[in-house]
Amino acid sequence: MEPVLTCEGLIRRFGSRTAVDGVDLRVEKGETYGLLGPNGAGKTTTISMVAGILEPDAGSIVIAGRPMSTGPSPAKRLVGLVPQDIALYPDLSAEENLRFFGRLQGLRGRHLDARVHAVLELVGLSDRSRDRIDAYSGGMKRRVNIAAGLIHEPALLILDEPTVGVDPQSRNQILESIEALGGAGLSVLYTTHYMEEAERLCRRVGIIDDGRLVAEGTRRELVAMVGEHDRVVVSAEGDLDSLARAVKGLPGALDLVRGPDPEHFEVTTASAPGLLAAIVAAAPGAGASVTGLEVREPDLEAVFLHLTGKALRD
Amino acid sequence: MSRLRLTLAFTGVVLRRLAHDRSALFFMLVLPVGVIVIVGSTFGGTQQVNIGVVDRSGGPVSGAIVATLDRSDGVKLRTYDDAEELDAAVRRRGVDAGLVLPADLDARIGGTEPSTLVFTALPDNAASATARTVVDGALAAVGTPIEAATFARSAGAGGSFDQVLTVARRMEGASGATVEKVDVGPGRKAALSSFALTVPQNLVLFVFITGLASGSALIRLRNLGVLRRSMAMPVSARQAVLGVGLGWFATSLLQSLIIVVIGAVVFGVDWGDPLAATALVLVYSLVGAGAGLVIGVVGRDEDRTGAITPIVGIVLGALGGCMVPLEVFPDTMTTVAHVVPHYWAMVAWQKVVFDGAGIGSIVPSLAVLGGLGAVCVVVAGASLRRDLVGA
Ligand SMILES: Nc1ncnc2c1ncn2[C@@H]1O[C@H](COP(=O)(O)OP(=O)(O)OP(=O)(O)O)[C@@H](O)[C@H]1O
Ligand SMILES: [Mg+2]
Repeated sequence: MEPVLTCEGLIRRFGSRTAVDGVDLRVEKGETYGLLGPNGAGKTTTISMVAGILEPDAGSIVIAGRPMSTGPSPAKRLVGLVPQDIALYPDLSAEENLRFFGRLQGLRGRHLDARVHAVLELVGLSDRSRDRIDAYSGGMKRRVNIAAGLIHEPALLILDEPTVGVDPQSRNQILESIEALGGAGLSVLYTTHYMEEAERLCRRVGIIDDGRLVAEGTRRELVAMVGEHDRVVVSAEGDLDSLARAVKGLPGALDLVRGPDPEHFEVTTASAPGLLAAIVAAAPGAGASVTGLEVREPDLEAVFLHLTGKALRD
Repeated sequence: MSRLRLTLAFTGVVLRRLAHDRSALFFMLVLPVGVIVIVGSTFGGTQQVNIGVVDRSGGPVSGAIVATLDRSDGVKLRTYDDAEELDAAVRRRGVDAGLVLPADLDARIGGTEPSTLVFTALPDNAASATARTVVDGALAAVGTPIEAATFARSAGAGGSFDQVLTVARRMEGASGATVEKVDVGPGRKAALSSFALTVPQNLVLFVFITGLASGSALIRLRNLGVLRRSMAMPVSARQAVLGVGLGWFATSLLQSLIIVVIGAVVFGVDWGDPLAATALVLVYSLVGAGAGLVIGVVGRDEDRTGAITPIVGIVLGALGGCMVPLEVFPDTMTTVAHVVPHYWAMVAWQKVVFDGAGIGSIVPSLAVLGGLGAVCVVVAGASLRRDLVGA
């Protein structure tokens, strides 16, 4: 079956900085695809090009067989973009906003009415539909922001970090509705820097860093890249540099990465039990004392660390 | 047509938001009308001409001249006992001009010897020029029937001169046309109504300020990301600009219409030829909306732009003759003024309102303003596209 999104060799520079550097993406029909990367990785730049609101310097984008462009391309009817920042008229009501975006998508008459009601229902704001956006809470604004991307029943929904700055309750609500949409067969391209969200929602995940897609696959495939290894998170005080050097030299220690903060580092190992004792034993000699040890199953966070040497969150 | 419908979706949102925005409505409608009232009545004081009269004759003809002057719109008449006193008043600017009606005036009417009236005024004084027009008008109004009577008698009509004069006056009253022809037409009326100048001035001033103000609203839309978001829909940047611009054009038009109607109904402004006035309102609204689009596309900081634009609007307006009439501008200023649209609009309004000119005589202004408006829309469309999609 034809993929909903295929893009190849996407490049976008801003001045001398290359924000997106040769990204290839493929989203199958009905698939929820996660683009996982830290701040400034190039997620927004990538999906802006995919949605046709940013001109690429190079590369091609095809939506269900139709080429995407920054002009009034028909491919745009197939895409629903939910921008990272709330992009709504604050002085208009939710309903007025949705009508406006619906009209721009070519909807009108009864069909438009029906769609406005349907998406308001979906995001649970039917009873507040006549209130002005600027009278909404942050979470409610986010929900209308999403509704506006769904008004025209797109084939591909693109969500740019839709849960940033949202309280846990709204966040859960948003994630649930995205799960429901994915379950109903909608294709979704979801960007986030929350590893848990990518793990929860997405069948396949692409890991993006510094404008490059460094790995891609299902969670299982990605985790396998780290190997059948455990991660040991070491918390310590004192000379961590020296301790890290000592731990790296221990038998059984594989990769070692500093972070996510100065008091921690992570070691991957084939056998955690043996290593734990060795770390504690090595500490006094390195001028440090271990305050905590935690063994974790590998997750996308570990994959990211493994691939980039950086923590996902700064 | 679906492309038009997309454009109109943007227009609809502009108008809908305006309807929600009480403060914008206030600044757009209440403020200009308020300023017109204040400026109009302030200048009303100075635009009223004070004329001093010495009537040495005391006969029916001199009496008719004094009465005609007294009845004229915007004239305040003061009588003086002798010419020296009147001259002193003119020099002190107690009156704008003085008129001495000689003792032999009535006696010489109907005869062959002319009688000399003395008009005194300070040089380079706009009010005295107006006074001169008024006096000329009054003399013509009184003089025409007298000439008719003189002519009638010399042509052999019977009766005394006075009898013939009375008949001539009645005839003129019946036809009503003779007096109107003599310098009492729109020219004089315009010179006297303080609002005939200030209402067009404020129309030109405020429509442009409203246009600029909508510019900061566009910057806000850009900063909010709504315009950028709409580029993710099958719409072109040009359609967005046209749609938004159309909304502001309609807004400017509405504002103009309200000022024109209030000007006519409340302040008695005669807007002259309807076709010329309509064309001028249309192209100038286009300029206002176009300027707003350009500001909105080029500007970055909505607050700073919002704070600066009214000042810019006032300065440009002053340069273009919205504060003081263009006639009092020194030559170099007039040359410089050509760069602001206000100048072209004011030149045209003066022709239409003061001189009763038709659309043919304001073609240069219409062309300059229309061209400027169109260029603004095109430039804004291109730059908005570059700004939104980086292409
Ligand atoms: N309009 C722009 N002008 C200049 N640089 C830009 C522009 N947009 C993005 N960049 C740069 O491109 C890089 C990628 O930015 P992008 O917004 O795509 O990252 P992101 O992955 O979405 O980050 P975040 O998680 O913070 O949203 C950053 O270094 C950013 O500074
Ligand atoms: Mg981003």
